[in-house]
Amino acid sequence: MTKEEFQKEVIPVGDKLYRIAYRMLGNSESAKDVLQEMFLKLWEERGELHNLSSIDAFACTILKNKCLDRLRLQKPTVGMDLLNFQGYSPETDFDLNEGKSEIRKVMQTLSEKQQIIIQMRDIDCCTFEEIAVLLDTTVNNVRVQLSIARKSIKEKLMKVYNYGIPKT
Amino acid sequence: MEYQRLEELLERYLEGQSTLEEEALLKEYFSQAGLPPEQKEMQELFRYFANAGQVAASPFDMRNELNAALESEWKKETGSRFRRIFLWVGSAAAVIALSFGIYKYQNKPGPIVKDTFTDPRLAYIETKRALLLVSRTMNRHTANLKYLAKIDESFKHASKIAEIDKVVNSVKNK
Repeated sequence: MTKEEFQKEVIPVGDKLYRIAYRMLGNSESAKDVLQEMFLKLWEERGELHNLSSIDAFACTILKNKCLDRLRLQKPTVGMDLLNFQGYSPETDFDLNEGKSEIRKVMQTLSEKQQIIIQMRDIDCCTFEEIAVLLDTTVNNVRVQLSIARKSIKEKLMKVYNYGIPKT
Repeated sequence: MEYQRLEELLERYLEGQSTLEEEALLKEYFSQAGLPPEQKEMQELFRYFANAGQVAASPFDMRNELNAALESEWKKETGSRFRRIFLWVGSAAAVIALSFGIYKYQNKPGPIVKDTFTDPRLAYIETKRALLLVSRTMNRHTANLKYLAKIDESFKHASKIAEIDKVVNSVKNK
């Protein structure tokens, strides 16, 4: 892979992955460091990138491992569970959206995993592969969970807007 | 967007089968003003998503930084590659030059034997004459060697002394 191809095909994944790193680490400095490390690694591996089915998912795997390494330095007992996604708590996004409290309440009725999947997919526009990598699950499982979450939100919101009283 | 298409996309969305592009279409559709109220919940939801996305999307200002880093990394690498090739070619050239030198040295012509004659027949006669001279001189001087034969004869006479020795011994034993 040449420098130009790298700039065209690999660098753009940074936008999305920066957000993920930011959510995992909770601050922009660390997120930037991790992203830089990830790109360096990708650059070293550039000869192999064309053979991959998904550069995104590969980049995501590197990013996740680098984030976890960093988190373990801060707290040695960190495992790969949902608690690592500190940034994916409703407060970060929802507080900034005043007047959306109905949606926020409905979101909170979902399981933690479903909340994270919804946010990754519908707000951060991650691919299924990326979400699967980050949550240590399969693409199919992500689709199923996402479908359950979306249907549940829709149903609850219908009740809110049709009756004016949320039944949670 | 046509109603039918919208329904289709929403169906795919709820089943978790929609692509990111289709979801972007939905976001765009629901961001319009003056939509029918039947799908208020979906409008609110997609507007919320679009809004949250904007807020969450911290400006990605690393791109320039990354491109600069990439540029310098690339230069470093091609630079070192050039150096490597240069070194390689240089040492190859040195080896070739050295072996050529050795080859030349080993094939240096030794002293050339040059004939001192031009006419072979003359050379033959001259050689013959030289050899004759040698043999004649030798014959003349070996003639003197015949006196050595007389010395040899005298020694034969001396062998009789051995008989005296024998007699003396027998006397001694008795």
